[in-house]
Amino acid sequence: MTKIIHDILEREDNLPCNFHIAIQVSKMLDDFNVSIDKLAKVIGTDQALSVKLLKYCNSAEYGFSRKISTVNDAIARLGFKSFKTIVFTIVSKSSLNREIRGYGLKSGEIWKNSISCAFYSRYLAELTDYVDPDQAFTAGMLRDIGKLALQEYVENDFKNIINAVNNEKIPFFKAEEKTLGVSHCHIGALLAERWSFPQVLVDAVKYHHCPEEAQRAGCEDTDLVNIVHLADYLALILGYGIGTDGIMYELDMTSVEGLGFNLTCENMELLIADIANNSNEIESLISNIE
Amino acid sequence: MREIRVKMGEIELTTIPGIVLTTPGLGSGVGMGVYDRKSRMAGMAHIILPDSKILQDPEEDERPYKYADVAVSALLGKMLSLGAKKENLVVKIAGGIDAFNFKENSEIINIGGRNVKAVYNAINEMGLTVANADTGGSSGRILKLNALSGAFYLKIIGKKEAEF
Ligand SMILES: [Fe+2]
Repeated sequence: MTKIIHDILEREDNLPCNFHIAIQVSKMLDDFNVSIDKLAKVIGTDQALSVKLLKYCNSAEYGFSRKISTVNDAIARLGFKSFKTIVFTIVSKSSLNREIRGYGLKSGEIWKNSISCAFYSRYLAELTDYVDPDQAFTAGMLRDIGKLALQEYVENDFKNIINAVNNEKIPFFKAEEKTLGVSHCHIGALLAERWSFPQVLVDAVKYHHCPEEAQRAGCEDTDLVNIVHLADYLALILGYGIGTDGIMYELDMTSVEGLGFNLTCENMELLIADIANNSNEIESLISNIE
Repeated sequence: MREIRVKMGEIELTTIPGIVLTTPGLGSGVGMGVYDRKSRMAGMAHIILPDSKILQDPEEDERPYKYADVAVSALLGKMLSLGAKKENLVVKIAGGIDAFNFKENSEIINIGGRNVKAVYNAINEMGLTVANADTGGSSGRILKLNALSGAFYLKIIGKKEAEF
């Protein structure tokens, strides 16, 4: 284990621990027998989350005629299906809505980028008949979580990383690996393991820039990896929250074709057109969550 | 100074001094800023695709300004109809990153390159030329245009903002 990995994993306080609760809630939701009461109890242990959830339910977006005043009520009105997405979105804001200096991201940018990637992942999941679009949403949201922990090391060694990208024509995450001994994907997956994410999410984080390696490693859910890989690329080229790593990442054509896309210039453009037409939904989610 | 963010697939036009038009986060998208030196009219487009003709019925798209062919002629046409003169117009563009791909034929995903080409074509078709351009590469960009002074600014992510 390199020193950087060791240091990051030891530094417990640096982890956005409120993701624990989102993971716990999402696992509960996967169980068909879960009751609203049980869910509300878990949510209730996090005061800030409860308050934000109620505020969101009472925002103009929903326009429920009756005021929602309890977490039980909120769950009942929103329904189990959208509940997972909303909990993750709220939790992600408190963890991700900060400056990530090492990657040149101002406050809020990595959060917006992650929300876009989450939406695109769910969109692609629905388009390709992937079994669990909400799972895709979560995976897309979390794929860059390793940047939070790695950023200070990236900042210190930025020149060397960029030189590796330019001289060796390798993508940014490979240059991270080469220079620091670990990439944001790898450290993100190690952290996700620590927080007891389901294995398929860990894999999506780990391989989001190199889906061919997921194939080789025999991952259980390579469809999810492929979905997040393409969604990540789309979120980057469409611009929300581009950092100093720019778009120094490759799109793996084999992975995209693995999703069943017939890759032509025209299909790629139609896909982007459709995604852009749905960008209002992203904007309204971003502006409605405190 | 108030900033108007030109979201992807939109065009904005202003004659109000004190407004700065800006296209945040240009990746493969292209920002086009247009300024009329006499009337001090400022316009900006945030283009993300080269050609509306990929659609069978382009009229049906509710956000047609995401296409270079539609956005360029709409923005320039609007400015001219409001009294701007071709000889006074300054047009600058930024964005359109290249696909970062060394392994295989990357033409399919080189949307940035196709966007840049389409924007140039559309501008030339209107009988205008591009005064300054910063395109390609693999860094994100932000383009700004100050409606009062007509000054353009370009920020390449990771570098300082500079007059452009
Ligand atoms: Fe990444």
